[in-house]
Amino acid sequence: MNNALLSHDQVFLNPLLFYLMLRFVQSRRWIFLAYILGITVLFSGNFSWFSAPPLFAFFPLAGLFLLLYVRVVLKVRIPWKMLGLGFVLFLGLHAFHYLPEVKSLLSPGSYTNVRFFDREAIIHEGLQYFTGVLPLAKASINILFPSASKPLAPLAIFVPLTLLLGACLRKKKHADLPLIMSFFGITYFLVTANITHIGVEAYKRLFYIPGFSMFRNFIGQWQFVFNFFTAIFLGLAAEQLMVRLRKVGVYFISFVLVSIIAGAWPFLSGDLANPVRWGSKGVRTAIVMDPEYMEVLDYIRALPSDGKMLTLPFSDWGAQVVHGLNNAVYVGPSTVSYLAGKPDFSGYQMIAPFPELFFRLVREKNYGALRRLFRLLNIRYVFHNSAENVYDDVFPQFPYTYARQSLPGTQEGMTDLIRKLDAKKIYSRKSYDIYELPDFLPIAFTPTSITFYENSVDDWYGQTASFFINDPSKELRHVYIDKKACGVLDQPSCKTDVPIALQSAPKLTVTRVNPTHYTIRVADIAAPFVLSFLGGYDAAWTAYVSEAHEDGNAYDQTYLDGGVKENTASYATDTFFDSYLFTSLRQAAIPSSQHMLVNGYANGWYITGQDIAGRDAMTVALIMRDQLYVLAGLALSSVCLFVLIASILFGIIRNRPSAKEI
Amino acid sequence: MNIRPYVSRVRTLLKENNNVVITVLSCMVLADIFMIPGTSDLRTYGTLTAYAVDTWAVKRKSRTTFIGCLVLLLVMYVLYLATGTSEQTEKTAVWLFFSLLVGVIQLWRE
Repeated sequence: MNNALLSHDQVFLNPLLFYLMLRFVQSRRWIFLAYILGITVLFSGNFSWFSAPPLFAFFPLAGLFLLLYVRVVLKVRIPWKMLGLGFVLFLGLHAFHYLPEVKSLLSPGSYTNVRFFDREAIIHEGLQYFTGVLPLAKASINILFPSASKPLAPLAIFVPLTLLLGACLRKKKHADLPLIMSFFGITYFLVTANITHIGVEAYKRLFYIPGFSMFRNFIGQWQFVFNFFTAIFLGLAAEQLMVRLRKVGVYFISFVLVSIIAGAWPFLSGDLANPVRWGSKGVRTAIVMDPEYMEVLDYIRALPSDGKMLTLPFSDWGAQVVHGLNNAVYVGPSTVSYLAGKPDFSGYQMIAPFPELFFRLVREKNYGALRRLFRLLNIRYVFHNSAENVYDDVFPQFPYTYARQSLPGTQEGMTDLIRKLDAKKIYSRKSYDIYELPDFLPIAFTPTSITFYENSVDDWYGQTASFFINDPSKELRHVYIDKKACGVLDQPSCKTDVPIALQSAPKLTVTRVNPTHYTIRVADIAAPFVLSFLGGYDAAWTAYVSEAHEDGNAYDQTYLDGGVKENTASYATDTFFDSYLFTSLRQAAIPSSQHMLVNGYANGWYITGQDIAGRDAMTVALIMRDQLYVLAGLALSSVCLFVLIASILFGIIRNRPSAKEI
Repeated sequence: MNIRPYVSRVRTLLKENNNVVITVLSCMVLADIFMIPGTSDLRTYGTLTAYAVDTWAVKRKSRTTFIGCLVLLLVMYVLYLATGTSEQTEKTAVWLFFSLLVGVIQLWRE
C-alpha cells in the first residue's frame, strides 16, 4: 500500500471523531466523549515528529471550528468541565507514547528539540524543503479537485460550481456559511501556499513558530483538513441549492453526486492505493511478499546480534526498497531493522552525522577510510539486494536521486564496491546477498588509543569532521574524541593531534538485558580507562558502577582478540520490565561530566580511579534513563484505560443512547 | 484635519460611477490574466484594495462578489482544460481566492 496507514485514518477516523465530538457538545452525554477517547487509543498515531503532523493539522482547526460552530451558529453552551475532564483522561491515556516525546522535546540537542527550536535546523530542514516543494502546489488544482482519472477530469467543475452557487443563492442569514467559508479559505491558503509573493513570505514566517516545520511538506499535511472543510462547505451549499431551486436543485445536486462518485472511482476501486510508484518505470506499490525474502530476514534475525547492517542500494531518505513477486516494490522504513531487528543504515538520514562524508569517500574511492567509517559505526554486515527492479534503470531517480550522484549507478557497480571493501559473502539467496566486513568494533569496548580532534567543520549536522579519514593509526581499538573533552580525560598531551596510547584497556563481557540496559563486566583493570559504547549519543545514557559479579551467562561471541566477550543469546530474550531501572534510581551514577561524545556520534565514559576504587574487576550497567518515562507513561495509561473502560460500561448500562441518536 | 467630507465625496463619486469602476477593475483582472506575463503583488493587491474600497463605498452585496467568483471559476476551468496548470490558470485561481476572501468578509458584515 502506498502509505495507506498515513492517510486512511484521516479520511475515515478524523470526520468520525469530529462528528462524535459534535454530538457530545450538543447532547452533553459522556458516552460520546468516551467513544472518542476509546477510538483515539485503538487507532491513534503517535505524537512523534514524523507522525504528529496529520494530528496537528486536523484537530486544532477542526476543534476551533467546532467550538465556534456550537457557540455562534447553534448557540449552545459548551460543557467546558466535561471537556476538561475528557482532556485530562486523554492525556493520561496517551501518556505511554507522548511522555518520552515530551522529554525528548525538552532535552536540548535532541532530534525533536533541534527541529522545534533551532533556527538553523528550521531554515535548513523546514524552509529549504518548503521552498523546494513550493512549485508543486497549484492553486487551480486545489479549487477544481480534478479526478485522478484523466478522462473524468472535466467533471472537476461541479464541486466548486456547487460551492459558489450555494454562496450566491444563500437565503438564510446564518453564520454557518461565512464560518465554514472562512475555514475553507484558511485551509486553502495552508494547502496552497503559493499565493502571491507576499503570501509565500508570510507563510515562511510561520516556520519560525516552534514546531511548524513539521508541516514543511505542506501539500500532503494540509490536504485532508482542507478536504474536510470543503466537504462541509459542499454539504451546506448543496442544501442551499436544493432549498432555493427545489426540483432543479435536487437534479443538479444528484448530478454533482454522480460526478463526485465517478471522479472518485480510482479511490473507490482501490486503484489509488496501488498506483505506479513515483520515480519508477511502471512499478506499482502493492507488493506480493517474496517468501524467500522472508527467509532472508530470518537469517538476518539469527545473525550474531552485535554489529549493524549497511543496506545497498542506499537511498536518499532512509527508505529501503524491496521488490515483491509481482511488478511492485515496497519503499519504506527498513525491513531489516523493523522486521529482523538488526539496526540498519539504509539511507542518507540513517547514517547521520556522516552521510556527506560517506558519499565523498565513495566518490574518492577511499576504501580504507570507508572501512574505518564502518568500524566507527559498528557496521559489521552489508546487505545487497542486487535485483534490477529495485535500482538500475527501473528507478532512475526517486528514491536514489541524490545518492546516485556518489554511489555506483548500477547493481554491478554496487557489487564491485562491496568487493573493494574486502567483504566476505556469508549468505546468498536469489538476488539477496549478505556480506561480512573483515573487521568491526563491537558495541562496547575499551579503546587502547585515542585521537583528539578539533571539531572545526561548520556544517549544520555538526561533528562530521573528517577526523578519521587520513588517520595513519593501524590500531583497531581506537576512538576519536573532541578536544573539548580534554579536561574530562585529564590527559596532559591531548591537545596534540597525535594518537595517545591508553595505559589500561580492560577486558569486557557484555550482556544486553534489553535495548535500554547493558550489563558489562570489566576485568583486568589496571588504571583509569575509557569505556566506549557505540549506540547513538544521548545524555540520558547513564553508567552505574558496582562490584563485579558473575552472572552465569554463556559468552559465545569473542571480539578484539578476547578483549570483548558477548552473550548474544540475551538479545533474543529482551526483558521488557527491567527492575534494575528502578534499582538504579537509588544508586550513584558516574558523573555526567565523565560522559562524552566519541567518534562524533556515540557514547563514551571516562572511568576514573575514584570510580574504580582499587578494584581489579567491576560491573558497569549502562542504562537509558528515559526508559523510565516510557514505563511511567505505561502505568498512567493503564490506569486511565481502566477508568475509561469502566466509564463506557457504566454509560452503556445506565445511559445508553438509542441507535437513532447515534 | 477632518477627512470625513473627502471620504464622503469619494464615496459619492464611486457610487455615481460604479459601472465604470467595476468595468475598469474587471478589465485589470482580465488583463493581468491574459495579457501581462509574470506576477506582480502590486497589481494584485492594488486591484484588490480598489475593489474592496469600491465595495465598501457602494455597499455591494456579497452575492455580486460571488457572481464574479463564478465568472472567474468558469474562466479558470476553461483555461485548465486548455492549458493545464499554466501561469494563466494559476493567476485566475489566485484571483478567485482573493475574490472569495472579499466575499467572505462581506458575508460576515452582512
